[in-house]
Amino acid sequence: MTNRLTLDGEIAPAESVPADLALRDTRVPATLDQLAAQKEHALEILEARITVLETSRRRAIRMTHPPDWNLYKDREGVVIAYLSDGGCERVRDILGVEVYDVSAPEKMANGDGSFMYLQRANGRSKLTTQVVEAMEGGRSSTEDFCRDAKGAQLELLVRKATRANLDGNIARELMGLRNVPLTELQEAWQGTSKDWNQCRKARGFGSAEERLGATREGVPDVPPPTCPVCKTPDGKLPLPLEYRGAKGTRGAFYGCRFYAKHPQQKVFVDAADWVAKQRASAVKTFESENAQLDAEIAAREGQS
Amino acid sequence: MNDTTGLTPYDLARAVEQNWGAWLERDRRVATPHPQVWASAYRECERRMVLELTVPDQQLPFPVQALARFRRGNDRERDLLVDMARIGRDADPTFVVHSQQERFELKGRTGGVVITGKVDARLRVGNMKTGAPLEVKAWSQNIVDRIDTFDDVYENMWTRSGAHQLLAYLYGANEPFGFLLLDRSGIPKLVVVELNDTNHERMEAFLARAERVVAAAASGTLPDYIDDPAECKRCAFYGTACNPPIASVGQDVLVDPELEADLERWWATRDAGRAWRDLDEGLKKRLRGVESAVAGHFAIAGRWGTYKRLELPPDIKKQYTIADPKGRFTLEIERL
Repeated sequence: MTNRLTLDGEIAPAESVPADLALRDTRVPATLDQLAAQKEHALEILEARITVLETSRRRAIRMTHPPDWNLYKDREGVVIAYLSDGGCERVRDILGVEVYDVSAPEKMANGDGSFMYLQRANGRSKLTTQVVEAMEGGRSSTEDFCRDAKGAQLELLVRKATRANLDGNIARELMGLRNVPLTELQEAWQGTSKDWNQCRKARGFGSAEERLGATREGVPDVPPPTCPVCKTPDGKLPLPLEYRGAKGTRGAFYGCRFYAKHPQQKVFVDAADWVAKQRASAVKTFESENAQLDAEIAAREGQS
Repeated sequence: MNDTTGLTPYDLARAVEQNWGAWLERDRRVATPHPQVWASAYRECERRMVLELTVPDQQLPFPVQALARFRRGNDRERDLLVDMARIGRDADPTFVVHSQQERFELKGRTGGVVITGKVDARLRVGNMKTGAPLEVKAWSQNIVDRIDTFDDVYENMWTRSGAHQLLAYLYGANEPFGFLLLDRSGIPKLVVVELNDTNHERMEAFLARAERVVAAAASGTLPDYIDDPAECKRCAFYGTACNPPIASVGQDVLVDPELEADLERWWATRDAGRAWRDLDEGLKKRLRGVESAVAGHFAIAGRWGTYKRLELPPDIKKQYTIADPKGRFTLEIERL
């Protein structure tokens, strides 16, 4: 392990670094006693260590790409992101993730001819000195990536994916990239062209087609109204209302998915009214834009 | 089966593509264990080389798209050699392509064969007594564009094994030079390969490595894991027959508060600094040649001076150009 201190552009050897500076390095384990011995510097050292960890985490997320993440939405509308095995590989160097004591992959047969492989290993982070033990990785021959494979190829494919999953699980655990709030992704990607909308949308984002951008059958193609109460997790935008189709004598309407959270304030928008208003305003906008354009063209041609 | 009624043109195109893939699949060769290292199988990891000898079937088979590329490579090799033979007849000096697919073997210090291979052809130009070995490669256009010398072939991790292939032949046949014929859109590129001291050393290292690999394969042992996660990531045995520990490099943590303060100051003044630099460049461009002038509150004075520059013909310039892998250092600083 190297503890470095730059002095006039030089890299100083570890032993010449004063203790209060050396302890700022998260790669140096620090006990409470050691910190207490630093007296008035203790808090500063702690803050410096936290900053290093926060910056490293943000740097790791910034290095990933939207397709590296799977987004999951719970019933409350909270979106969390999960870094894929491929994404973990990309950022492993930031936290200096090590995988060691890797077991041989273990094959487990299911009764129906399918099988899965399981593999274990320990891991540690050079940056945080954190260690995880007996972590498992596993993949099954019934998963989507095996769809066209058979025989020896299937066997090799599952085994290879098992190791990738093991490496990924260790990296995710050590880097805390299993449940990342969406807002953290957005903040880390600020100033880049990376957009969370390009992440893979998984459970909670509707059917397979809807996740790819399609709308539900029967849902009007106008923008939905928004809830005056509920906001997105970052508190910046109002949440859209959901369309509910007509049922029996009840007409179609837009309602809040989280209506139970604000029972005092019922949010109900008649779908037919809303759609008619939206279409009318769209026509009006279109007509006024057209009129403006006509006026501009006429002005340029000297006809007005 | 031949009834295509109701199929759209897109369905027909898809059907043809699928059959093409199936046809390539039927020609797929299954890798079988072999006792010697192939001349084209130089690897950075000795363990991988042993596994290629003993359990080559533990690598994921190439996808059908790769099979198509291999086929295209073989077709190009044949076509280029035919063209070359034709061109050589009327050329000045004339040249002849001969001894195609000649097999060769290299023995180790213990006397046993450790490297085997084939050379695509030999090229005899003018009154040369024997032909110089010629290896044809149909690599990706992006790779070929970056190749000018044999060192370029050697330095690229994707082409290094191909570099060893021809070196092995030169070494075995004790030939002073050979050629790499690189396919590309346009006239193919012919790269000269000389068996100079450097290449001789490279080849001896390959031979010694091959000897160790053959011995390990024969004794049923495996060399240590390579300490290079990037190499493991590229390896076809990773996760199938080889499960090495992985040690990522990890980043440094610089713990100098003064450095942090300087970085903060650098960040805070960055935009102002950039704006000043742009203005400075713009002004110097606009005012070039103005020897004496005033503009508002500003007095402007300029003077011409002698500027010495060295203009060399491209071939001489290239001769004296060296590539220093650590000659340039690019720094990116970002506040997160």
